[in-house]
Amino acid sequence: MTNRVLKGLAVSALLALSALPASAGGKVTVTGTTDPGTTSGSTAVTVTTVTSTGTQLGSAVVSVSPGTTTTTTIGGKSVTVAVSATGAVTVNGQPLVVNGLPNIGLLVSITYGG
Amino acid sequence: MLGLSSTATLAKDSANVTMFGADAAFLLPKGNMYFAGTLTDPRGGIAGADMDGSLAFGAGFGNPIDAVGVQVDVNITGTDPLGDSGGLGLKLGRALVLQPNHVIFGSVAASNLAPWGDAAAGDTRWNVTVSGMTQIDGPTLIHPVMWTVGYGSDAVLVTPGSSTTEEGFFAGVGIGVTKYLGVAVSGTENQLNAGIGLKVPGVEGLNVSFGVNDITDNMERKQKILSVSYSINNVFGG
Repeated sequence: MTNRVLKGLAVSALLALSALPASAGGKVTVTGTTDPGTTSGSTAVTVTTVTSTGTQLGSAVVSVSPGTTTTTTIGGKSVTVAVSATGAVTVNGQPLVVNGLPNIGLLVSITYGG
Repeated sequence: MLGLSSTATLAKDSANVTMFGADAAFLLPKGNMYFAGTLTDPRGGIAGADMDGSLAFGAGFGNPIDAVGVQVDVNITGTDPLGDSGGLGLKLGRALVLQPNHVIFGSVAASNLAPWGDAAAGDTRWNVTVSGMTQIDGPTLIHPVMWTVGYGSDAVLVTPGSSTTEEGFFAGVGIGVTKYLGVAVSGTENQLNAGIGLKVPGVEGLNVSFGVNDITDNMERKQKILSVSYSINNVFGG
C-alpha cells in the first residue's frame, strides 16, 4: 500500500501538469487592415491562437468584407470571423477582449471545440 | 478607401498558470498529446527511502464544449525495469461555464484501470472534480488564476506515518506570476502541497513542475516531486 498510494500522488502531479487549461495564458490574436465606414473592399485578417503551453494552435489569413463574416479553420477548429462596418472584429460572434482582459471563454471554446 | 491597422491584440501578455498536487477538471483538447516523467524523493514519502520515477503519456479526444471531452492516460509507475508496472487513466470532462472572464469545467476520472505489475495489487482510483479559471489584470501582465475542488478515493491520508488513504476532499489554487512561472498550493483536510510550474522559454510545449507534497510533514509523508511534460497540438484529428 505504501508505495502504491504515493505513486498515485506522483501520477496526480503529472496529470495536473498535463491537464492545465489549454487556453490559460493563451491568446487569440487578430491583425489586419480594416476599411471602416465602407462595405466595399475586404479586410485581411490573420487569426492566430496560442495555447498555455506556448504552442501555436494554428493561424489563418482570411479576407472579410466589412459587414460580413467568413469561416475558416485554425488548427482543425472552425472559427467564424466577422468585421463590422466600423471595422470591429469578432470571432465566433464574440469580442476578443472584454473589459481589458482576454475573452477566455472564447479562447477555451476555440481550443476545445470546433 | 481608408486603410487602418486594426490589432485586437492585448498590450499585455498572460502569465503562466500552474496547478500542483491536485487533479483538475480541465483535460487535453482533442488531437493533443503529452509525454511526462516525474521523479519523487523519497519514494513513497517515507524518510530515508530512495528516489522513484514514473512516466505517463496521454491524448485528448471529444469535444467538452458541445458534448464530452475524453482524456486517456497511460501511467507507467514501474521504471526498473521500464514498464513493469502501471495502469490506464480515463477522464471525462465538460465545460460548465464559458464566460469572458470565468471558465468552469467538471470532470469524472478514474485511474489504475487495467493495471499490471505491482499496480495490479491496487484498486481503481476515482475522483469527481470541478475546476475554474479566471484572470486578474496586473501592472504588466494578466495573471490567470485556476482553482480546483474535488472528491475522490485515496485522496486523504488517514493517520500520520501511514500511507493508508480514504475518500475525501481535495482543493487547490494556482496563479500565473510571470510569463514563464506559476505557483500553486493544494491540499486535503490534513495535508498541504505547494509547487511551481515553469514554461521553458523557447521550447514550445515543454513545462517543468517542482513541488513538495505534505510540505509541513503533518502526515509524515513529505515528498519532493519534479515533473517534466511535453505536449503537442493537433497530433491527430481527435
